[in-house]
Amino acid sequence: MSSPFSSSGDNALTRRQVFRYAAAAAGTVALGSTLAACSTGAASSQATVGPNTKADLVLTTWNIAADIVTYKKFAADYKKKYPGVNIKVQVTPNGDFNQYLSTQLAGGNAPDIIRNTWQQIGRWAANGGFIALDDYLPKDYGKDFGSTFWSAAQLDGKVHGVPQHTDTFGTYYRTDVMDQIGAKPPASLDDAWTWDELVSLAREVKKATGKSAVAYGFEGVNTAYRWLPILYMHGGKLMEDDGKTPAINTTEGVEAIAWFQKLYSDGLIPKSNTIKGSTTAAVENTFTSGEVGLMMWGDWIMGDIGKALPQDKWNITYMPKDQSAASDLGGNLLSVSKDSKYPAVAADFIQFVCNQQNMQYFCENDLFLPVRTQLMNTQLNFKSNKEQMAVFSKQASTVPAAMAKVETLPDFAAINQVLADQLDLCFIGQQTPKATAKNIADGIKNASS
Amino acid sequence: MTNVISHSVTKGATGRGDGGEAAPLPQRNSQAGRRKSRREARVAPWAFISPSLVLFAVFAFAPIIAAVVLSFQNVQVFGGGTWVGLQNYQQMLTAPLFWTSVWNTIVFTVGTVPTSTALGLLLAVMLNRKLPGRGIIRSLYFLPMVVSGVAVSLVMVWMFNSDDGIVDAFLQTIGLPRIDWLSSPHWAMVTIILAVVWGRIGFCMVTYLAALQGINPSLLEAAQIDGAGNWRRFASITWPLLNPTTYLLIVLNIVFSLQAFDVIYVMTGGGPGFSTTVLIQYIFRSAFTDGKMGYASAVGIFLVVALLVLTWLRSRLSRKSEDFA
Repeated sequence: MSSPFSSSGDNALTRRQVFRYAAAAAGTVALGSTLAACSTGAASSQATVGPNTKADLVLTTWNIAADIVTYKKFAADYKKKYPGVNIKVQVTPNGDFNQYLSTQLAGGNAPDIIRNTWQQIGRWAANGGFIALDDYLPKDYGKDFGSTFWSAAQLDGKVHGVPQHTDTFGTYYRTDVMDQIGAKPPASLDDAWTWDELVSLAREVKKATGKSAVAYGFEGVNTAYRWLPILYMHGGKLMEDDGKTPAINTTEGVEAIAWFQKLYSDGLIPKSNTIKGSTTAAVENTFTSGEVGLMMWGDWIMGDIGKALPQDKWNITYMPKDQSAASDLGGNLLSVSKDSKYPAVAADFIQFVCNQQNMQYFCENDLFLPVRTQLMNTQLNFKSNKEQMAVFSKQASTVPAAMAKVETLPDFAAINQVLADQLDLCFIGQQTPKATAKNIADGIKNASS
Repeated sequence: MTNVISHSVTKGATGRGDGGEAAPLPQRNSQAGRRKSRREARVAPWAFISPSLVLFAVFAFAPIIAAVVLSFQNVQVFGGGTWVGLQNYQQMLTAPLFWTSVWNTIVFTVGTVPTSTALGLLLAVMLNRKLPGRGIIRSLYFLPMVVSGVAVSLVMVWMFNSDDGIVDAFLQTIGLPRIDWLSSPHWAMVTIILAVVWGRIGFCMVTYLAALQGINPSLLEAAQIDGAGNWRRFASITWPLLNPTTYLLIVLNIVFSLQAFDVIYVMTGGGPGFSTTVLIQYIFRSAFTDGKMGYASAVGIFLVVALLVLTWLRSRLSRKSEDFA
C-alpha cells in the first residue's frame, strides 16, 4: 500500500480523485472537495505537541446531542492545555456518515479526527483512509484497554484507532406485560432466558399485546450485523479464524437462521421490523406503543424509551442464551484521517479524550460502557439508569471475541451488505435457511476476493 | 437569434440605440465597423452562453467523462486504479442483481411516469376552471413538491407501517383486509410508487396548468360555437396543443424516476429482499458499500445511455405524432 502522503503520488492522486469523486457524487460537492484537495495538498506532520503548538483541527461525529456537548467540552479543556489548538466538532448526519466520509476521504479533505465504528475501521485502515497511530502513541499504550477492543483496533499489527467506548444489546421488557403474564425476568447472566424459554414467553407476550411479541434492533441495511450474536449464541460462526473462509454454512449456522426466521413466521417479531425496512423511530415505537412487550436493543436508546415511557413501565434484562451467551459489539474508536495536517496533534487529542478520566466522564454522562480495563472493573456513577447500565455492563462481557474479529475485517462493510441481502430475504420468507447460509457463504467469498 | 443579436450589436456599434437611422460613416471606418460588428456578433452568443456552458462543463460534462474513464478501471474509493477494459461491463451484464435492478427500475418508471402525468393533467384541467378556493387547492397539491423527500418518506413509513400504520387502520375500518405495504416484497414497490406519485402530481399539475392558460380561448370558443362538446374540444384542441408540455413532462418524469433514490432509501432500503432495489440504489451500494467505484461508474454509464435512448425515442414518437397531426 503506497503512502498517501508521498509527494510523488500527489499529482496522480489528485487527477484520479477528480475522476473518482466525480463518478461517485457526480456533482457540485464532488468538484468542491476535489478542488479543496488540490489546494491543501499533502498532509504535513508535527512531531510534538507543546504549549506553543498552533493547529486547527476538525473532529467529526454522528448526531447524538449529549455526545456533541461532551466532545465540545473536551475540545475546550484541551484548548486550556494548549491555547493554540482549536478543535471544531463537526456533526454528520447519522445515516449518511459513511458516505460523507467516503467522499471526504476521496476528495482529500476529510476531517482530522474521525469517530468511527468497529464495523467500519477495518475498511478505512486497509485502504489508507486512516493513518497508523503507533508512532504517536507511547509504548504499551494498549495494555490498559480490554484486549478484545485493542485487538480490534489494529490492522496487520498497526493501531488505526483508539477505542473510546463500547455498548451492547440487552433485552428491554415492559413491566406491565410481564406482570400480566406473570413472568419474572432473569436477574443474572446465568439465569438468562434460553431460546426455548424466550419463544414460550414470546407466545404469551403476543397473547397479552394482541399484536406481536419481540422487536429487534435493526435500523436498516447498515445494521444487519446485529443479528450475528444469535449465530454465535448457537455455537455457529460467520468466518474461520483466518478471516477469509466462510463458516456459516454449517448445521449451527442454518439452525440459527431458521430459529430467527421462525420468530417472524410465527408473528412474534413485527412484520415491519425487517432488516432493510426498519427505522429507529418505528422500531422504538413498537415497544413504547405496547405492540411488543420485549425488545432486544442497545443501551444508547434508553434515553428515547425513557422519554416515551415512565421508568416504572420498562426495564432491562439480559440477552437470551443458547449454547452460550452473546451480544452485539457496539461502540466507537477515534482515528486520524490521512488528510490531517496535524496528525501528531490529532493523535494527542485522541489520547486526551480516551484517558481514564475523560473516558469515565464520557461514559457516565452519555451512558456508554468503558473500554479501559480499570474502568471496566469499576462501578461507574452513571448520570441516569444506573441499574440498567449495570445489566449492560455485565452483558458486554459476553461479546464473542471471534465475532469482534470478524466485524473489524477490512471487507466487513461488503460482508454486512451480504448479510443484509440474504437474511432479509430469508426473514420475509422468500428463501430457506439452508439457501441463506449457502448464499451468505458465497457472498463472503466474493466480498473477500 | 443570431440576426437579432447581430442587428442590435450593429446598432450599438453606431452609438445609436434609438432605432433611428445611423449617420453615414466614412468608407474606411465603415469597413472596420462591419468587421468589428461581425466579430462581436460571433463573440456575443458565446459570451451569453459561456456562464452556463462553464457550469455544465464543470458539473455535468466533466463528471460524465470522468465516469466513462472510471468505468474501464478497477478502482476503490481512493488509491490507484488499474485499467481493466470492459471487465466492469461484462461483470455488470452477468450480475443477477443488476438485471433485478433494471427490471425494478422499469416497473418503477412505468408505474410512476404515466400515472403522475395523467393525474397531473386531470387536476390541472379541473383546477383551470373558476372554483372557490382554487388558489388554496392548487397550493395544497403543489405542497409535496416543496417538502423534503426524506421527510415525506419518513411520514410514509409511519402511514404504511404493516403493524400499526394509519392506512391499514383505515382499510380495516371500512372492512377491507390489512396489507403488508412495506414488509411484503409484492406490495413494497406499489407503496413506493404511490408515495412518489403523490409527491410528483403537484409538479405535473402546475406545468400543465401553465400550458392550459397559454391556450388561446378563442379556439375553444370557436369549436364550441361549431357544436363541439367538452370531450371533443379537449381531444381535438387542448390535448394536441399540450403535446410539447406532455413531452417535457414525460421526459422529466422518466429522468426523475430513473434517478429516484431518497424515497426508496428511506422507506425500504431496497428491500424487502431486492424487491425495491432500483438502478440508482444498485450504483450507490456498489460504490459506497462494496467500494467498487469503477463498477458503479459502469452501471452509471449504462443508466445515462438508457436515459438518452429513452429521450430520443420519446422525441421521435412525439415528432411523428406532430407530423401526423
